[in-house]
Amino acid sequence: MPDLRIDHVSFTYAGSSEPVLHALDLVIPAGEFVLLTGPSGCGKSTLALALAGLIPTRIGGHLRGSVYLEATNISTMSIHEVSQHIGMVFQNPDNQLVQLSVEEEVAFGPENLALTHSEIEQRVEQALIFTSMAHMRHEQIFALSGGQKQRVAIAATLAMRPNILVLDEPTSDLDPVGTQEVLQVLRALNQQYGMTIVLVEHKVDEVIEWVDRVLLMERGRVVVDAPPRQAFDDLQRWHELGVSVPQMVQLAHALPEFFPGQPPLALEDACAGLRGTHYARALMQRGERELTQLADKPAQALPVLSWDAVGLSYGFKQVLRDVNVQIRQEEWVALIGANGSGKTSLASLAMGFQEPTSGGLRYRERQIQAGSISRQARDIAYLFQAADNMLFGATVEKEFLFGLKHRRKDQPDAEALANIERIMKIIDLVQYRQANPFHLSHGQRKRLALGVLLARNPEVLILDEPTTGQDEGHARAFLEFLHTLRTSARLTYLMITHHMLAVAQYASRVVVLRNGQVAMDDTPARVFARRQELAECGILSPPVARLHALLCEDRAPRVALNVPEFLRMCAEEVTTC
Amino acid sequence: MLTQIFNSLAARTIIGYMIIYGVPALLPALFVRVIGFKGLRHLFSYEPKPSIIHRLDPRLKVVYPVLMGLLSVFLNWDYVYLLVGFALIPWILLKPSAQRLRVVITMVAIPVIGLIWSQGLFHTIGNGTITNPTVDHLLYTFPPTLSWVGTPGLSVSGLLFGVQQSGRTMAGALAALLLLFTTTPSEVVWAFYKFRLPAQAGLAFSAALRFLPQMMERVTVLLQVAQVRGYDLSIPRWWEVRQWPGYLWRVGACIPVVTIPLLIGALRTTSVMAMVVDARGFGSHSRRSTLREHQGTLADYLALGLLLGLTLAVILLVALHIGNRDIYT
Repeated sequence: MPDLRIDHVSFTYAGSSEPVLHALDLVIPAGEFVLLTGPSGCGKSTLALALAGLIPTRIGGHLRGSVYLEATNISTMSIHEVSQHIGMVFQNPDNQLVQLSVEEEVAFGPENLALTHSEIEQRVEQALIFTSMAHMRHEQIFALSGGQKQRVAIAATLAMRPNILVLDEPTSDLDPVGTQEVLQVLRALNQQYGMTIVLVEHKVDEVIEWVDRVLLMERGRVVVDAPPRQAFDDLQRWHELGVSVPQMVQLAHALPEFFPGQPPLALEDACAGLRGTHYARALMQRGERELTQLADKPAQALPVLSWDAVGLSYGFKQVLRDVNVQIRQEEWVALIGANGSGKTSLASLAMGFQEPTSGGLRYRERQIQAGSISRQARDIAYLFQAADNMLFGATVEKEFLFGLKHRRKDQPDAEALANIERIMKIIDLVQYRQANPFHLSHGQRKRLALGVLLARNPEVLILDEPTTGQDEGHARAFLEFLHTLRTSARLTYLMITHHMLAVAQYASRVVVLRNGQVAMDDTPARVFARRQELAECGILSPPVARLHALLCEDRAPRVALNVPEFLRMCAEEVTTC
Repeated sequence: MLTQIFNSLAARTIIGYMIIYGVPALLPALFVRVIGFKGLRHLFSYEPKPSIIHRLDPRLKVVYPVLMGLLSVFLNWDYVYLLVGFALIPWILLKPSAQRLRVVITMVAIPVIGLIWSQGLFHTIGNGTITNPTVDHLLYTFPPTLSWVGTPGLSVSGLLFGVQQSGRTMAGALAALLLLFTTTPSEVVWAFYKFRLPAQAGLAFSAALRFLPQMMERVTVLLQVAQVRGYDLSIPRWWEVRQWPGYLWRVGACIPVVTIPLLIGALRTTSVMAMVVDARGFGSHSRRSTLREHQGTLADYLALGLLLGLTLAVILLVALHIGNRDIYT
């Protein structure tokens, strides 16, 4: 299989003066599994497009240097020729599936190459076996989960018989189970079939144990190029760039005496390193002691949002059944579960997007009326996953005036305008008053979308995947902003998320949904201690929480939520002993 | 007293306006009511089913709506209704789900109602001729204040003419929806390829159908976003008269608000899709092969025979001046 060589590649997008890639030189040997990571805007996706031959033929801009497949410059090849050597998989599976059934989708490429029937059949069969989708060959694509769709997209790419697969954040829209499905397929392709994998990914923690090489990018340059165990030698650099460092690596840096030489990458390695140590014994003792203690006292504040025996069905499909949840004032409740478990449906009922089939919802003592969304929006705000979809105005100021202009006239204009001024200060965008919203950074746009919601003085904020598509640094900054805002404005949050580190760090309570029913409802420390039940709900708790549970043989009633807490719990127990 | 009021110029003018605009205003409302925003995603999308219609040769299904449209043009109205009866046969064999059936009925009935109403208003020659129309057929005569509309009133003969003409709409719509509901994109591309039509046209057609449900979902999200942002689209109660002008203005003003992000989103999706299709070698070879080459079955030959027989029958009817159209039919 050929090597991939990037020879002094620079690229500047059309209409931009700043290059996104700066004279990159890299060699990716055949059969290597490469993780390409870095902060948003560092050039990862651009490099992926260049590797797949889509730059500059399909993406406008100025390319200098060349990408070689062995000795062939891929810019001299047509797209369909390149795709028979280098396959590209994009972020959103829905945008890259053009057929209706799995078989038709996978066969589409070979059909276009006018291959013989037996060759097409062989390729389809093999691609589906490689991606563990053979049993779903005749399924309709719309009936598949997100993870399955992404596996079909990979299978369709594999049917072109590439030796190299380039994937641009293929798991960013997927739940933890879907993410694992896709990553396991990639691992199998690399390990069993020797395929070269170049994976652009923010979820470093989940993929690090499988990769051969880590490339960390910053402003169009590769600043770290090392095997995974050496890639984190300089943790400060990773922190400065806001890229997540695997929790096991953080732990190894904090406890070097237990991990001499190289840091563990897999949970099992870390567990093996700590098992039998006084730290592990201390955690076990703590767990046993806590088992005999009473559970945390339930919150006393009044509920602001209540789902009372709520059921929701679409035709014969039951989406929610007998859901009873109450959210109290100033709580930060995380709503988690696998894709299709009913999270978004549950939250959307609170906004009045649809009507429950049974049961009812209340905001304080008032019944929530389905369809009266703008009225609901006075008390409850909904931050959509794609915050860019929420911006309609030509300037930041006009964004704020949008709601004011189109509302029913029940609040004096002067009062509303004063409120807007106040919110602009809170979200720190006063100096951008006349700027085009789409010229702001991603984080600023997210804050703007939040700000225009706050202009209506809501008491409850529903956050739908607030960190999707952001690197760890930007996600953390936005979550910190939300945290500060909640404290200062005494807001109540309901956050739908797959980002377990965010749940562990910020949520005061976690509601886990499984097949439309509430499976768990407790504090994050207690929920994440139930490792096996969570797995059945399609959830993977943060690595350090799993490590804690493993070291306590799943008997600890609550687990540490982050590395500093893990270390503190160990240290406290050791001191007590 | 009441008769006097109803016969007054003002009352007749109001009633006239209600007759003119009532039905056109009700039709979109009826559409939204029956189909709903959620139903829009099923509007033109394929429904998998193990039916004999699904298994038919895709070429037949592509030809079928074209042929039905053509035949309905040449026949007079009573024979067109026979054609509509013929177009119902595949639907009986298909047995679509209740959801799709609702779509079919709505998509057929709404244009038909619109057509009948418009003919009732504007096909007003009665028993006379175009140059010398009569007025004895008018169900309601418009007052002089509505003379600008260009019609004397609502005509019984016009309504009847609309009923006659709507057979053509029904035959075409029933045939076209059958193609959309029972043929996959790859089958459409295959049929286009076999007809020596550009495969790109087949892909564009099928991709449009493939992405329509996504687009509808995006519209729903954008409308929700607008309302979450304070854009009030809640319908006032009928007695809240002062709220209605504002509501109607907001509905109108909402169109660009939704359209621009929708367009940008569609372009982004299309850009990725184009790269994917290029990367899969679409259009790279003049020839194209298929995994599933349709093998002719007895059902195909029967269906082909029926279509040929139907075409022949129509030609005969027209040639023998039995079923051909005159100026009014």
